[in-house]
Amino acid sequence: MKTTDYQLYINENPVLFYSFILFMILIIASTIYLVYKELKKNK
Amino acid sequence: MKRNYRGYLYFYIHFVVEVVCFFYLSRITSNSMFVWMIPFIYDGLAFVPQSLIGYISDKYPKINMGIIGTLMLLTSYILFSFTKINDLVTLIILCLGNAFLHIEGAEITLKSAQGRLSPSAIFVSGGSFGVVIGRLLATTGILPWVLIILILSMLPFVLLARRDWNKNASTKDFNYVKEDLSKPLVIFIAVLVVIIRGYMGYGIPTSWNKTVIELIIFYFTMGIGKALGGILSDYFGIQKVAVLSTLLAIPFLCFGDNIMIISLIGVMLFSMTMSITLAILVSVLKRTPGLAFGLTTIGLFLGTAPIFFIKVSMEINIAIIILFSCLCSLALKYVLKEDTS
Repeated sequence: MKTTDYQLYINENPVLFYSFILFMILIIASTIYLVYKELKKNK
Repeated sequence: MKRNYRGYLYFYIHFVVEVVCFFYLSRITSNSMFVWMIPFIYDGLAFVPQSLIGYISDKYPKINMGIIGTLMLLTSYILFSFTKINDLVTLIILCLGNAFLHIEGAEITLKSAQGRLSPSAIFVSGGSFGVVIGRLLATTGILPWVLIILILSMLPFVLLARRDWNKNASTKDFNYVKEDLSKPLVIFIAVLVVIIRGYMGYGIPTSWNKTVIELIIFYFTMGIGKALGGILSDYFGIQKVAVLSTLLAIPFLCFGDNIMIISLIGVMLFSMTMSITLAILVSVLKRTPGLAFGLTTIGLFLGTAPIFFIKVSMEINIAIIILFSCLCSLALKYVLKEDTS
């Protein structure tokens, strides 16, 4: 079986998919914090 | 090194990185049950962590991220070639190796550039050539372990790029942004432009692109455009190149669906803003160029992510290209200083 349908994939692997999304959100949030910290330091 | 050859050294390194990554991606997606998820995970894991790796590199410039990245690519390929380990494990190691090498390239080319855009633009352009060569190699009978030789060939380049390099060099000469503007706003605008470019990169209508030769020409033009963006900005001024290339690209992108040469002119013009958005972010985050580079890669991920979920019609696509290009052009004009030359 091959599938290019993302909904099928998410339904079959919800843990992997949502963990991945959560991981991405965490990194982006950390980056925003680091940028904020740098801007504050540069003031 | 009296002249700055580091952009060319990292052009080769970036080329090899993309060859091995896209060879691997093309091979595992042809065998995998889940074609959709692998490119999505690759985009996320190769692009997003670059901000954190970049920040560590900014704080500890003595760490050679290039060596770490090369070793990771090597490990990934050894596991991929000689073991039956889960594809997800080798994919994660490969993505992180890719991220480490990108950050080293950005740090070295930006810090040695003395405020010029061309070294980082030349470094960035290498990737486009590598993507298409990697994809084509994957369609041949070549065995994965052969690419280990290619990975090892990066080592002298990684070491040479650090030779005579001042680890305390900075990016203080990057001053392309109007000083009276709010820095968070400038960062927001630059990342937004990257997101739009990332989205449009996948949405350009190219019905003409059907044969292998046309695919090669398409990616090579993209690479040349990225390099030219930096080189022309150094000669004619960043604001002129940013605004003109974004606006001039619109008709070529919209009407080039069936005519290769028109489309290629659009692709080249459209790719020119790549190094310009990086220069904007470095101008604001002078002490942390690695973090600034990581912001552009996060923008690329956010721009390409919708493509995995949404498909739009050609008419809507053309409307998006026109609207977004005008928006980018205005945003860049608003943020960038007037050119002095």
